[in-house]
Amino acid sequence: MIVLKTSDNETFTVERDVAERSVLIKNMLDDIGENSEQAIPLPNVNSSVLKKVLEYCEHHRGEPLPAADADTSQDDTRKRTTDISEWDQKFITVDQEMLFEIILAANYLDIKSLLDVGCKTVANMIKGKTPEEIRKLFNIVNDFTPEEEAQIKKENEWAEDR
Amino acid sequence: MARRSERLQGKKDALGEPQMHEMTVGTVLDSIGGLKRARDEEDNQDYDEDPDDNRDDEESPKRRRKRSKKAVSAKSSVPLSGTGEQPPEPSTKRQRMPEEFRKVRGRLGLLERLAKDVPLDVILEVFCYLDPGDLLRLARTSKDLRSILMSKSSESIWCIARGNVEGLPPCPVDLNEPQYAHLLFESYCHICMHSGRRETILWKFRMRSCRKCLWTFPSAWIDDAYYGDHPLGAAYRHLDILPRESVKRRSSHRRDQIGHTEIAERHKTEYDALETEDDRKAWLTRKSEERLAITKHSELCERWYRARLEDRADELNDIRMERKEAILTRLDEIGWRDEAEKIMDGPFHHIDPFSNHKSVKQSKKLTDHGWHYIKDELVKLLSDHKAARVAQERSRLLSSRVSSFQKIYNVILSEYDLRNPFPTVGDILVNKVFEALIWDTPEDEALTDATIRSKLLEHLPGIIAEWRAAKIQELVEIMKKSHPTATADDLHLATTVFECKACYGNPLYYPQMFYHRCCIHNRNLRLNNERVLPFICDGPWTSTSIDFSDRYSNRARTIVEACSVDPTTTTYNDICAANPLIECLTCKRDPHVWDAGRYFMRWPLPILHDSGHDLNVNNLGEEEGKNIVAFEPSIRSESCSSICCAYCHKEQTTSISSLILHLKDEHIDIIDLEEVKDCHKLQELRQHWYWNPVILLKWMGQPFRYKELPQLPAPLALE
Repeated sequence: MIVLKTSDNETFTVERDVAERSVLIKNMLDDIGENSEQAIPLPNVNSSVLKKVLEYCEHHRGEPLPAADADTSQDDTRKRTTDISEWDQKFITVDQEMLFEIILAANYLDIKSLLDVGCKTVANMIKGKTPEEIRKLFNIVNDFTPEEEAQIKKENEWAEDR
Repeated sequence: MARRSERLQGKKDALGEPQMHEMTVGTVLDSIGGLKRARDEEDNQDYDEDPDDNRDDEESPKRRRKRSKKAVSAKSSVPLSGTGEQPPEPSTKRQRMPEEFRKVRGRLGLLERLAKDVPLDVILEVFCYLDPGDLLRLARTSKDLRSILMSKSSESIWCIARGNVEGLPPCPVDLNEPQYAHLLFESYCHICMHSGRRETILWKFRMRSCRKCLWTFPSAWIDDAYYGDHPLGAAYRHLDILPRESVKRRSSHRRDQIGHTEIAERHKTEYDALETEDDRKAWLTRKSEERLAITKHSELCERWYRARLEDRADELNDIRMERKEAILTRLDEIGWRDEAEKIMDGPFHHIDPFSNHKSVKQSKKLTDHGWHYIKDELVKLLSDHKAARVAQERSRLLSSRVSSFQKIYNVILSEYDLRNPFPTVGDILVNKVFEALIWDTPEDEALTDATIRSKLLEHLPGIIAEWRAAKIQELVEIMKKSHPTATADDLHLATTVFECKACYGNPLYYPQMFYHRCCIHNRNLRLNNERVLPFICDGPWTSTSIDFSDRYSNRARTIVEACSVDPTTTTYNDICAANPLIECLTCKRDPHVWDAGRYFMRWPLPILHDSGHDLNVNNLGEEEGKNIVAFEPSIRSESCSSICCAYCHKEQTTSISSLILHLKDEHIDIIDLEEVKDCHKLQELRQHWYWNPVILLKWMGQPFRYKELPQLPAPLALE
């Protein structure tokens, strides 16, 4: 069993194969050796988010981890689908705050599949929406003046070509 | 330093930077990192507490422009209210911004936090799941996002996004990625900037136009403005280097060929700048090739677009089907699914008010909230439909029962002598026994013909006796208005004639009024408050339209008296039996006209004849009478089923041959064959038939003309 310590000093005891869904933790464990009983500090993750992340890891335990070079070796010209499995869909149905924290945690803990789920969810929220809808959804300030806004509808040059 | 997560940094270190694919997130990150648009945490702090904002105003315009561009990339426009942090001092630029463009509600948005706090590779990871249209719209949300996405170094993101769109032709050489995305995905008119006006994509012109703006384009075939008198005009026509589009801008099917003036002008400018003939030739060749490439690419785009529209239509249809199925599942839970399926599979499934209901046919996934919103409306639709369906089914069942009842009743009726008044089917059905039989027999219980027949045979004699007495008395009461001492026996007199007020005073003898259309027409047909009556055509008999007729009675009296019989005792049937030959002297025609001759008729037609005419009743010489009777044609009637067999009461036509056939077939034991076989006129078989009381008096026979043959000269004696 592995002990994880969150930024708010809460400890979680989890099985090793669950914890090792995180490449960061896996690497740490490889470094500190098998028999260490020391709690692994996770200063960038708080307890509520870690609980959620561990729920994901628990559900996906035993599934093959993506290859170390998966990020870079894949051909990015392929069609990327935003399909999310049913369980993941339910899992990621959280408020924007928690979604943001999960993405950050997945990125920090290096859990590629969870990061993908988070990114796909955000992408799905953006898809098909008008600029105004995107602004409303994500609370983005419209810093264009009305004139600029009218202009950018016509202007589609690269910034460097303008 | 580019904002990159340790996750990617570590991998990059492990793999070695130069091995990364040209279009990976890492590559994009590198290129964007070069723009210094992403910020690390220190940058953020700088932003929050940036003292330079105040100094900006003092800087030279040139520097300020540079800095402001940098600021756009380096500073987030995220409002900090709601995050617990102090908002930064407003910059001069912010003060210039209109109020409505600065309002932000609630907490810091997710995308803003992503853009601000998350490593850039994660943001790019998100972007890579979008399509170019989404990127374009995203680039129009804020300056920050625009500066990231509209940077040429972001081209790879656009390429990846383009790869997410199935079947999309590659970006053409004459367009950059955002321009291509703008053409493909921005559904508004590029001229008037309005959306929702059914714009046409002019692929070869690289633009969209609404139907109205299409009229601003010149005709590609005839408009000189398009070709002009420029030396290039001839080349345009010859080499076909100017793009044309075939568009439908009229309501008819006709398509117009249109050109693009700006493209033509641009060509002219380029051409004019060329100095040598070789350059011009090379230019023309190049333009011709470019035009060919654009045409080919346009065809690919059009094909892709059509497929996309079809896919979208299919997709929407699938969503609609899923929504309908989800609604059916919900309805199942509250017990209304069956009713919905009955609507869908019902006889009017092509109009299907359930599937076509505005709450059902939406191409929107059903949510819990959505279901609660539409639930009551749908339940009302279904409950209304159920009520209507149950009523309709009940009505169909009752109608079918009444129809069976009427069929059986008509069979029984055909066997009765209608010279005695007989109730209509309506009179029978208002009887409690039969009303209960039709109405109260459980719906799942079959009401057989045998049951109906046995019930009729059991109850009919009693009902008829009761009904007949009541109705005859009703008629006597009407007669009493003119003849206070009238009794039921007086109804049979030849001088007792009634008339119908509803059909222009048609004269009616007893018992004709009991079968007269105006007296049995069902006035309850359109009513729903009655139980069985709305399902039958013949309602209960009513005397409301009947009056005693003094004028017809007086006319009848004249004829009866002319027959030298007592009008107070002579019955209608007595006169029928006497069968007097009556001549109208007034109607006699000059022998020289084509329809010349004396006008004769039989009882009861004289009743209907003009009252002012001079009638001659039975006042003929013996020889003359014989001649006229010999000349008289067989009785005819305009009405079919106008006579009844005197033995079986079955209705017959006024055809002598068919009557003889009937008598031979059915009543051979009664009739004398010798007597029958040589008969040529219906009146010769008068004892074997009677006029059907159902028909009106005017159909009982036809008058005829007797034309006396002129005296032939005596034959000459042969010498």
